[in-house]
Amino acid sequence: MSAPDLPAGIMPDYRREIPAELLARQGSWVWHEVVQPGVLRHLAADGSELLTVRILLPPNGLLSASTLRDLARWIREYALTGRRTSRQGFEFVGVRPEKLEKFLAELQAAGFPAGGTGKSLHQIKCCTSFIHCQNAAVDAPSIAQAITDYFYRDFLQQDLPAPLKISIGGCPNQCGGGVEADIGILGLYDSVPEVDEASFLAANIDIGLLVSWCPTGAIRPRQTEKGTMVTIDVDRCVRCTSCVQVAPEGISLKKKSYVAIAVGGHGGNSCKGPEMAAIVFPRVPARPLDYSAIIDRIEVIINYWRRAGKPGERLAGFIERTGWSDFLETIGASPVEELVDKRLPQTSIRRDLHFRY
Amino acid sequence: MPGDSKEFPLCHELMKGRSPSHVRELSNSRYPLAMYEHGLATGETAYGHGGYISIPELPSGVAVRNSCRPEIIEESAYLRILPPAGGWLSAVTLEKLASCAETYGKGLIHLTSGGTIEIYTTREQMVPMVRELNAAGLDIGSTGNDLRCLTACCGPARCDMALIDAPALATYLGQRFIDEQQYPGYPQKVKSGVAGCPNDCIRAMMQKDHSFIGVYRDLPQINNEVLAAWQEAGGDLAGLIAACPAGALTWTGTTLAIVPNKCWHCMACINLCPAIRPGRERGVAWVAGGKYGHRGPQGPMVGYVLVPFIPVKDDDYTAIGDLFGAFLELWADNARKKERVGDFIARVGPLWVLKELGLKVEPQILLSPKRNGF
Amino acid sequence: MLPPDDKKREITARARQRGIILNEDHWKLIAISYEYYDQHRTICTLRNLIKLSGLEKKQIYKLFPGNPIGEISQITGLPMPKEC
Repeated sequence: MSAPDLPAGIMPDYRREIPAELLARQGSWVWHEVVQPGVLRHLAADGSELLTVRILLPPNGLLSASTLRDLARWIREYALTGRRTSRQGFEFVGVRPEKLEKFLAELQAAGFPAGGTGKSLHQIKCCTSFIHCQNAAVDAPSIAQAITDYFYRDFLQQDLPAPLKISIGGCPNQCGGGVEADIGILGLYDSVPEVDEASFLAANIDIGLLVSWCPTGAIRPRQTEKGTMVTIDVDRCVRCTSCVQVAPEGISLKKKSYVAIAVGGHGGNSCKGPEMAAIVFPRVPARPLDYSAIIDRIEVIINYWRRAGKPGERLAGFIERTGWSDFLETIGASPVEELVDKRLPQTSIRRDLHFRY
Repeated sequence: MPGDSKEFPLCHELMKGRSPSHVRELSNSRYPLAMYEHGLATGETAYGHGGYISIPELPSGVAVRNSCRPEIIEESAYLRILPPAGGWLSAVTLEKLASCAETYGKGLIHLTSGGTIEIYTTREQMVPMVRELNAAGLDIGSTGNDLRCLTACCGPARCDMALIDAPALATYLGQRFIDEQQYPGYPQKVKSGVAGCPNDCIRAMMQKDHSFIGVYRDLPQINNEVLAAWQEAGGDLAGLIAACPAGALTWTGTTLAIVPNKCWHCMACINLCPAIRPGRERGVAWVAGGKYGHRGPQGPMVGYVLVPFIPVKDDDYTAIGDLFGAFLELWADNARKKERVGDFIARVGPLWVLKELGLKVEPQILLSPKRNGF
Repeated sequence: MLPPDDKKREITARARQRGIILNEDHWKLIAISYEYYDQHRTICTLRNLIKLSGLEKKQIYKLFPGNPIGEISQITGLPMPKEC
C-alpha cells in the first residue's frame, strides 16, 4: 500500500489538547484573580476554582527537546494541560492546589520561575534574529536576555502601576512586534543598500515590484546599454531594506545597525483603542553584547512610570495624562526634531493650541 | 556543555544570567552554536536569504535559510507546524514534538512570535517527519504567500472574559480553508487571528491581516449583590467609575447603572469588577489590515474595523467563514504583487471592499464623517 | 494552443528530467500557458491558471508539484509572470 497523499490537510483540533474534565467546564468561568506572581485563579459560578501557573521561557520561545519533555512531565505530575501564550511564554492550566507549593519550588529550581502576571514585567516577546534569520539588524534574543536578567525581580513581583510588556523586533519586518508593546525595541539599519551592477543585471529582477515596494520612491529605474538598472537616492532612502528583500541577488546591505526605543503601544480596547508605540529614543547603539545604552534608557522610563503612575495606569495612559513634553523631558529623550515623523507629519505635529509647559 | 567558554565566549556569556537562557536551550540541542557566535561577534547574521525549498510533496510549511558560513552548516531548513488554536499543548503533543525534533531535526523547537511552531531540520528528514506529525493529528503549512498563522486566544475553556469560542472559530476557519494554508497561491501572505473579546490578548487587530474579535452588543450586566460583596471586600467603587473611559457608569447611592448610549462596549469595567459581566448578545467584529511590518506604503498599522457586529449563534460559523473566504478572494483578485491587506484596503478604500462584498456600511465603524467635500 | 511537435518533444524530455510524465491535464495547462504567453509575453499566475483551466488549485499542485508556475516556466522555457 502506498503512503497517503501529502499534505494531509489536517487543521489540528485544539480540543484534543484539553482534557475532558476541563472542556466540560468551558464557559463556566466568571472571574479571575492573581493569587501571587505567576499564579492565576479562575473562579466558576458554582464556586469551583482553576489554577494556572505561568512561567518564564527563554527568549524567542526556543526550547530543546529535553525542556519540552520537562514541560510535559510537569503537566503530567501537577496540572491538567498546558498552553503557549501569545507572548512566547508558557502556562500550566489546572494545577492541583495541594501540589502548588511543591510545583513552584521545582520550577524555580529548574530555572523556569513562575511570574509575569498582573502588574509585573511580562515575558519579553522577540524575534529569532541571528539565531536563524537573514534579515536581522540586531540580535533581539540577546537583548531580551539582557533586559530579563537586569529587570529579573520585576517578573517575580507585582509592584508596577500596571502590566508592562516589552517586545523586540530585530529588523523593520517587526516579526517580534517592537511596535506593539508598552516598551518596544526596533532593530534598524544605518547603511543604504548598494546595487551591484553585474549581479543585478544577471539576476532577472522584477523591477516593477522593486520600484513599487519602495515606500519613499527612492529607487528609480534607469536604462543602460546592458539592460534596466536601478539607482537608490541616498537622501530619500529610509533604510527599510525592502529592496534587499525583493532583490537579494543584486542589492546588498552592509549591516550597520542600531535600535530605536518606542513607548506606549497597547493592544486592548479598554480606554483607548489599540495603538502602535511611539519612538522616544530613535538611535541607540546595540552592538552585541553591550546593551547598557538600551537598559539605561528603559530603566529611566520604568522608574518615572513607577514613581508617578497611578495604580492601573498603563504606560500609554500615563503619558496621555502627563503629556508628551513632560514625559520626554523627564526621561531625557532625544531632541524633538529627531522624533517628528517626516513622512506623516500630521501624526506628530500639533494642529491646535493646547500647549503644556 | 558542548562548546566551552573559549570556543564560544559570547554564547557562553549569555548562559550566565539568572533568567531562562535561549543559549542553554541551543546548547542542549544539535543547533550549530558557531552560527550564533558568528552573529554576536560580527554584529551581522550568519544566515542568508533562503525561502521555499522544492519538496514536491510539500508545497508549504517547508523553508530554508542559506548560510554565509558553509563550513559550519551548508543551509538550515525548517518545518512550520500549524498550531492547535489557543496555544493549547497537552503533555502528549509536547512529547510528540520533542521526539520529532530529536528523531528528524536538531532537537530544537521554536514557538514563533506569529503563533506557529517550527522545528529546525534538514531537507531529507522533512517528509518522514511530516508523516509522523500527521499520524499524531498535526500538520504543516503557513509559509509562502498563503493563509498564515491562524491563531486564537485561550477561549472559554480557561477565560472568564471570552465572548465567543475563539479557538473553535479559528479551528473551523483553519479546517475549511486548509488548502489555503497548505497550497500558496495569493499575492502575499495573509495572517489571521480570532480573539475572544475586545481585550484582544493576541493583538489580532494589530498583528493580523484578517481577524475576528469577539464583541457584545447589549450592555454589560451589573449584579448589585455581587457588587456589595465586592465593595465589602475592599473593592474601589470610585476607582471603578473613574476607570470607565466613556463616563457611562453612574452610582445612585445604592445601585450602579450604565448610561446606555454612552457605553463603548469595551472591557474596562468588566476587567476590574466581578459584579459587571459582559452583555449576552454576542458576536464578532471583522477587522482587516493590521500589520507590524514597516514594508509597503502604510508601514505598521492597526486594522480597519469593517463590520462592527456579526451575530454568532449556536456555534454556527458558516456565515463568518463565507465572509472570510469572500474577502480573501476579493483581495487576491485585486491586490498587487506583494501587497498586504492593510496597504490594499488603504489603496482601494474600505467602502469599495464593503460594496464589493455586498455589505452595509454600519454607522459604528465611522470615526468621523469626512471633512472635505469631494 | 500547443507548440509545434519538435518543441513538444523537447518539453516532454525536460518534464521527464524533472520527474513529471506529462498526461492530458498537463498538456491542457501547457496549452493555456502558451496561449497566455502569446498575448502577454509571460505565462499566467496560479490564480489565473486556476480560472482559465477550471482545475482546482490542489489538482494543479499535484500535476506540477512544489511551485506549479515555476515548474511550467522551467519545462516550457516561457518567462514567469511579473505580477503575482
